[in-house]
Amino acid sequence: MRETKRTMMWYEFYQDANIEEHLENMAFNGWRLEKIGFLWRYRRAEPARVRYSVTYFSESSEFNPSPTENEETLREYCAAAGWDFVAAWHQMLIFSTSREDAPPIETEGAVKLEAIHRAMKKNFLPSGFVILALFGFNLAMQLRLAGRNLPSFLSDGVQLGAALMMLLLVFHFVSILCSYFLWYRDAKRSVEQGGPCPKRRSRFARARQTFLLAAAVSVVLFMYIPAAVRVGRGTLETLLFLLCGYGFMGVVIQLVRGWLKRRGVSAWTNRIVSIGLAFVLGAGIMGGSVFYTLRIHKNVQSGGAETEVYATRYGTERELRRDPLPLKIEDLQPIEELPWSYELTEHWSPLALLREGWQVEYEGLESLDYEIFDVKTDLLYRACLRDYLKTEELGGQCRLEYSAADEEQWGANAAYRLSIDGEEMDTWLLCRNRRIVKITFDWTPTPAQMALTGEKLLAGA
Amino acid sequence: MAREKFQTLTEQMFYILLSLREELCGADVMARVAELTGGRVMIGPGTLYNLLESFLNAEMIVETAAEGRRRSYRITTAGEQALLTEANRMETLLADYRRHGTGGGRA
Repeated sequence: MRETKRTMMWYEFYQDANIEEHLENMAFNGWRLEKIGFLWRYRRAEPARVRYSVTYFSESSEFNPSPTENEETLREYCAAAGWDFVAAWHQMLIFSTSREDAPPIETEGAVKLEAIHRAMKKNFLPSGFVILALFGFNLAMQLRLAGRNLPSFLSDGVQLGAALMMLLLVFHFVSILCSYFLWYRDAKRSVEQGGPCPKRRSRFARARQTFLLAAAVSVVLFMYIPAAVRVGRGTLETLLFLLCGYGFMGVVIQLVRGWLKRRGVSAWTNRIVSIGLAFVLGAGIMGGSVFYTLRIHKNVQSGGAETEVYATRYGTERELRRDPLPLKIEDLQPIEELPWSYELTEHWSPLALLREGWQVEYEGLESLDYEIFDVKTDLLYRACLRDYLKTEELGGQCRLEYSAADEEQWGANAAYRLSIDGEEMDTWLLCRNRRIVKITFDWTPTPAQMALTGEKLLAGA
Repeated sequence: MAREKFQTLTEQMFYILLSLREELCGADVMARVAELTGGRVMIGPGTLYNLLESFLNAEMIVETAAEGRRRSYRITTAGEQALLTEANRMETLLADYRRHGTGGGRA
């Protein structure tokens, strides 16, 4: 029979009422809290009705080698009132008692509120705001990328997955900070009117945490991993490397912090060493992921398809690929016997698929360039078409815009032709159902070539 | 700021100051207040700790002895003044109550 048990604590740091109830239920079921860390450790004991009290003390810290004088004094007062110290976690102190007559640890609302808010300002609130700012900045960068090129963003499962993860984390931190400040506002109002400091209890805490965890796991399983596998093994390795790397970093920092605490190193030294270590390891992990990202690009270019290296007359080496392109120049017109490269790159997400085809010969640089974009919903299709059609100003000098063209020639539902400063180019957008094809020719295609292009690139749309 | 904070005293503040008219160790204040009030007023250890810190900062009490972590306190003149002000305030309340008659409230 197991003597100890470790569980995740589902409640937030500031939800004292939920934590007290949870611990009392555990004690009633024969498990007494013994230690708090990443997991909360319980020891088997006789089932009993035990009262728990969660309080917050601003001087307490995970970095203190031992409780400060003032914390010891508070613990002594608690002991005198019949409360036994159980465990500490950051600024949270947990006490328990079996005595019915022990007074509550906090008996005056205003004093309790002030003590809690002081403790929250020490760690929970600043770290919450810093993390929110970091994740928020990351999310803003991701959304900026989406604003620049929506189809590319929507069809990159790795990037979309990362953006969704950031969104979940931002939601999480916004909700816990808002929840705290709403509670603080109500509590302040209550104590100003001579009332009690209300306990912080959230009936939805577990549901919210479960939802967030399930959403994060779903993003990883159904978006991140399949997309990473499609891009190439390098991407999946990067993901695993990042997960393992940050997990390793967390464990190392915990171990070093614990070791320094045991050696009696001061809280400030311990804090500086831990933060320095986090920076060094974090930079190492980022460096490693960049290294892997470079490998990804190499893998994507090689793609595992049949390739050969070709030396051009300019003295450079080019990789010639033989990817299966849905449309080749030779389908449209005869081509010279030159070293052609056929390159097809796929970007996938559960929302969209983007296939980029490129046929090129590196001597005269003749080429055929197109992308086939399929999106899952009408709403996203309309947003992406707007993105394709948006007028652009290049360097404030050239004006790129699309105007409607004859769609029947292509067998499409709609067609648009690009013009630069009013001059028509050989770049078209072809739309059918929820597919958008963007194609650039090196020549102006004939009606027969247009029909064949539409037949090949719009097939299955 | 501290004076503004203690312009009126809560019941628990009042009895902590009252109990410190004799030198007491912090932990003994809880028992002394319970004794003074016949168990009517109970002070929790967290509240006691925070109020003693606030009274010290406001110089309403002073530390008189420290043996290890066992620190003793006693009320100061400022603390006595706060007690007196609070007592006068309560007397005014009581006088007002009596002047306007007792038992005359509407049901």
